[in-house]
Amino acid sequence: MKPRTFRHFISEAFRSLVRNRLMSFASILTVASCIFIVSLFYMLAANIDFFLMQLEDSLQIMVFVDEDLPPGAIGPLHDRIRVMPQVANTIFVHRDDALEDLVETLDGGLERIGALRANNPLRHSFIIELRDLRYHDELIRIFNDMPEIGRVGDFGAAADIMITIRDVVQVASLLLILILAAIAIVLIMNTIRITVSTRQVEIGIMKYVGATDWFIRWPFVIEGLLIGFFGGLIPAVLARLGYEGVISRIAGVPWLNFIEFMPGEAIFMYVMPLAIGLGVLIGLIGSLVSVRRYLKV
Amino acid sequence: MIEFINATKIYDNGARGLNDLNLKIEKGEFVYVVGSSGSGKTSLVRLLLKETELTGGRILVDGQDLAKLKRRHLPYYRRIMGVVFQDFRLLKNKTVYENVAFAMKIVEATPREIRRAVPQVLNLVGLSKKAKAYPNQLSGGEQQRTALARAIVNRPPLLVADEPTGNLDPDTAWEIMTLLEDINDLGTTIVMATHAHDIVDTMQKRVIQLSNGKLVRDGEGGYVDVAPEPLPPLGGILR
Repeated sequence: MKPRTFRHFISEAFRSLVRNRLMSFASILTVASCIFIVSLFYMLAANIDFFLMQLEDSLQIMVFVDEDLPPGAIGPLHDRIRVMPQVANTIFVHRDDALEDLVETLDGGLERIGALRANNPLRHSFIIELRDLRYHDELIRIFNDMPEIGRVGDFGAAADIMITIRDVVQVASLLLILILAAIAIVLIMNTIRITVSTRQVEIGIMKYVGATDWFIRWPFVIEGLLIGFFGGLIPAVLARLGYEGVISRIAGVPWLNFIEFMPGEAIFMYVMPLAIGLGVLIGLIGSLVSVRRYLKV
Repeated sequence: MIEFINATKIYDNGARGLNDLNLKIEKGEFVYVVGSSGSGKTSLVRLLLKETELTGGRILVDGQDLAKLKRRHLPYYRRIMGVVFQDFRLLKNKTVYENVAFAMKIVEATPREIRRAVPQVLNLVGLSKKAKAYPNQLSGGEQQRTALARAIVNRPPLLVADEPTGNLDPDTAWEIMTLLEDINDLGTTIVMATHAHDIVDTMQKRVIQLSNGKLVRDGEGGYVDVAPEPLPPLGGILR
């Protein structure tokens, strides 16, 4: 294809957008509405995921070392726990540090601190962060079976609940995004099909004059891409502007300020390309499918 | 240039478009295809444009068997002919100039070639002053002249005209016929399907007359009334 022919396609696409401005506007609005809903849901799902991840990070297993374990064996035990594939991080808490923490927490509430310091009842312990909540039960089992471990402090049913919530949110968000994207594709295909069908006569004439299918198709495809691009860009920009406003308002509500939101930059690193990419894809598929049936002249 | 060999076209509903037609049209000829409604004129034109397929026989155009022409080569085949329709079929959103230039853009002519050829051909059809007008601002005759300009701007060796004067008043029809004759004088083969007896009688060119898809007359001169073939008994149709 010669560059001037491609220039002709682009100018034809723009001319057609302007000429059929009402229909173009309706198409852009349709795509934009669907992608806006997809973007909203994506942002909601991403924030729920973000919130759960933070919650997960705060869930740790506390492992108390057996009283009879000689001090020299603690180092190798720490090494064994650290290299476990289920473990993300470990912190060793010396029994003296644990006591100091306890004293600090109680803020002088204990009268016989001196006696406690002389005969510390606490044990050495490890704070263990999990790579994933799924490993919770498995790790508890492993630690319970280890003779060096005296007692395991876990957060029991909380892990299962968290896993369930996270799984439901992930599956539901993926499903809803897919359904909304499919609805958007169907809507835009219908809109583009109407645009193309109003130009059925024009396509027929082009074919009689000897235009190849691609010569006819290109302006429609570019037009579809432009509609999709603007249909993706508009909701992306609107969502970007709205997001900061909404989270700053929620942060101002006292009983909701425990929720930490994903920063705008982090979320729009994905929402922007998702919205525009989805728009362009919808425009491309819509125009290709719609124009195909009118080419058989 | 064009050869129909035992060409038969039977439509899905059983109607016969062409019935074992044999004829040959040489380069540079001006041929009228005449006949009453349903005689096969339109079938002949549609088959030439490869808008529909034969059910039997062959059609050769410039030595090319149309049955063997692949779909992807169809646009290139259509470029060897200019086509003019009764209803003009102009692109409504393009000016006269753009409608004619469009045919050149399709064959990827350079802007320079387009700038040179389009005014020339508009001058030939007498539309230089209407170059910037849109089809809905033109009379029927002017629209047909635009269609004619579009059909010949790429200098095709063949021009197929399907009832080109059908929607025009007699004076305008004669203008179009004069133009077609001029184009034929430049060496273009013209196949024109028409109902217009007066035009056929006056022009005294080769006339191919069809009736029920069959060739009933092939020779020079005017229109000759041919007794139509008796219709099949009604009972036969209903059965």
